[in-house]
Amino acid sequence: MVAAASNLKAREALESIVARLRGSRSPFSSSAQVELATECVGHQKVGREESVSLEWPELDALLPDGGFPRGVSELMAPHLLGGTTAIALALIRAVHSRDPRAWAAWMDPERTLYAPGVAKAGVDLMRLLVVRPERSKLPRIAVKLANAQAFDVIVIDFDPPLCSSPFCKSNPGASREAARFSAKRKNIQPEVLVRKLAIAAEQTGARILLLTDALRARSAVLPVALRLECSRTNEHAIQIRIAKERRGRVGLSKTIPFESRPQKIILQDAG
Amino acid sequence: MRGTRFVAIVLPDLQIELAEAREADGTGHVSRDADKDARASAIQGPLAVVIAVPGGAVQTELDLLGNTRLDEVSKEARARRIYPGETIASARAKDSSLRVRVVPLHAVKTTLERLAEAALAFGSTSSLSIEKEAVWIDTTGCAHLHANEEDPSGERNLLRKLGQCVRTLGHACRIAIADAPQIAAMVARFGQRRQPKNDSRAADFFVVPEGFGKQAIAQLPTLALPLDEETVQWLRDIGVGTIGEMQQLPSRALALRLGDRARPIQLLIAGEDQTPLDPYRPPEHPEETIELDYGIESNEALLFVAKTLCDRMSVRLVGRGVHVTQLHIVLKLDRALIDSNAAACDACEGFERALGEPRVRLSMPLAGGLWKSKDLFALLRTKLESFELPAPVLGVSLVAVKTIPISWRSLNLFIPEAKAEAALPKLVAELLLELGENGIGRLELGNSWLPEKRSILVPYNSPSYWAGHRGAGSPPSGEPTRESQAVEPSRMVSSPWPIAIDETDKPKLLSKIEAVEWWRYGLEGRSLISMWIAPMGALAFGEFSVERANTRRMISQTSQKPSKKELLIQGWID
Repeated sequence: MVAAASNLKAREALESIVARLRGSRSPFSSSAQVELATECVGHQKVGREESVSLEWPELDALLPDGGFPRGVSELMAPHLLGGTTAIALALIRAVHSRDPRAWAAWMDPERTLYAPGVAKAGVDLMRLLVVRPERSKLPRIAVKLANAQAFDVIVIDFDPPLCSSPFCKSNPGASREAARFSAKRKNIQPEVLVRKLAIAAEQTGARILLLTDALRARSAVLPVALRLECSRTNEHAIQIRIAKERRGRVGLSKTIPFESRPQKIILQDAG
Repeated sequence: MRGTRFVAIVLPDLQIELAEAREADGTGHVSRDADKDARASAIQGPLAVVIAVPGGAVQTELDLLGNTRLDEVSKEARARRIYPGETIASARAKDSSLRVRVVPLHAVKTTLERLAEAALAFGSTSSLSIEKEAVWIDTTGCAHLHANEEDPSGERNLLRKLGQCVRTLGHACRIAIADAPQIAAMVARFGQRRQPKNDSRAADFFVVPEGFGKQAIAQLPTLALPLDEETVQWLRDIGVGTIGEMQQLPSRALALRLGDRARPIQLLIAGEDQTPLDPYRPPEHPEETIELDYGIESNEALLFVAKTLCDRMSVRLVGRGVHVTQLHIVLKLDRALIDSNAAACDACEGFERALGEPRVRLSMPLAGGLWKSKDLFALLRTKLESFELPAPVLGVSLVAVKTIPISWRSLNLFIPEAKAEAALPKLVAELLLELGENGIGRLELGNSWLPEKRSILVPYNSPSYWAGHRGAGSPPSGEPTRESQAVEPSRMVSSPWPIAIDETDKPKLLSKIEAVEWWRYGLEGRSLISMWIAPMGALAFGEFSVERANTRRMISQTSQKPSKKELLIQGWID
């Protein structure tokens, strides 16, 4: 149904272009006009691709439009540990494989991103910029990254760890900083930040993923284009529910196998 | 010298421009945006310049006396019949409103050096002369790079671009291209434009076709030749006013009159010039300095000065064909006010005393390299906006400490340029200033099998670690990998924390490492485990606490089975 709608839209665009060409005193012949119009629509369709497939069949089948849309999307998980990192890495891998010159950025204030795991997910480490700002600087630097027009994907560890989270237990400094961050609230409001990111993403065509903690209380929901609620039911599966989608296609929930995520195959022996 | 082409850039008003700039804003900067006519009208009256030579009696305006001779005068002064060489007293007798300013010789030298360095972008060699206030560039074989349909040879376009470059630096100039340096300089300085210019600010440029040097200089006055005043006067007395008339004189008689200098002068008037260019050798580190007449106390004024420095530095970098990867900005502080604020100064970032002169040196690493003025200024603004000045600033210097050659590459008409390549250097340079080297970079696999050492952060543009392993000695059949076939965690915590294991938990062995860096950690093996932690709903990655403790000892306990009641969580397979 979605494909039919997009085809109808493309056909209408083609017909309008042909009508304009026929109406004008164009030096091209009518057949050349049709060919030119077809090519224009084709380029328009390819250049403004709305969603990117993750090459993770079960997840692609779940997502509306078969992939992540442009703009800001949110991946919620309890304690930030519901398989959201794997989903973000899959998106980066897909973008890297499509365009050999595409770059991605990851904002990792707690410095937890692990290179072997990222490389195992098939991500090209040479084209992944890792930014490790202090929590207080994250909003400003996130907007700067989004406005730079340099990245196709930006992943942001949006929420600081709660004191009860596993990350916080291992990093007492982070817990103190998180408490300061929550208490002072001198930074921009999260909703305002997300809107700024959305505006930047619309201008640049980037996809921004926010990894948030489902256990964190918020005064207002984040104004994102897509929200997925993720949780690990067991070590082999992730349960994903579409909590928000820009066209209202919400409520769909599915459990997908964790092992089917795209991974790099190491053929030669280690060492 | 057939086949060679030289461009001469003559700055006829250099001293006046420097004096006007010092009058206008005290920085010695000639504003490129200022309309010269508007500026001239704003600064009323004639102007004369005395050059301050090192060790001379005149160093500042306070040293001027009535018998001090003028080195240069403005057009307004010439209109009032005030000429260079006159004393101040006689000049002021003609016009009491005459303003006399002192310009240090090093200011002239610095300006010409800057121009010579910028000119390296147009030719292979440049040279300068302080006495003649001129710069030469050897453009042999370079003009065709600027050719187009309107100008097949490219020389006119080259001169036009050079003139634009000089004007950007804030100077009026006259430019000529000829087969020999002196011919070009003579035509540039004394050449007459046939038609009036539409734009008074446009640079005058002259093209002497190849082999037509003799004809080109024929119309020039004898003053253009490097002759002493006595010889020029003698030529005038005998009715020889132009070089063309001089070319008609019998060579033997002329040689007798010219004496030792006959040979080079006769060759010159015949259109031959064998004078070699003394090449200008730019300093190792490009540096731009502005000395201020009064101390700056506000960051806004400092940024204004920094903008000028960035413009000048960008021109030098383009001339050299390099990007800057590390930039230093040095602020010379007012010594008199330092002593009263010594504690604040010592605590200030980058404060140092060089030869007793207090100053602040701020270092800015620029990953990827930058060269554009606006990018350099954006970084300086980031650095200086929040910087607290410990004392008034009397001088500002910008030094390009490290540079890398610009790697030019062709663009494809049909494939758009990667947006990251253009945006990343500037973005990363700005973030480096804010976050430091440990705050931005890319991940790389460490050269170790210890989990805590396998993830490192390196500069984003550093080459892949494979680059260091290629070459002689590498195994031909393949290279060692740092990637493991085992499941890897995607998140690692900085400090592992223990969790008790009960009977219902089922830890799963992912891999085992033994004798890794045995000289530090012993021969004991370490089992890397994954375990599902139901209360958290997460798959943990870690190792047994006992094994981790055992690795600290140089005792082999492989015969004993260690107790595994506690898991040390190091990360998450998320």
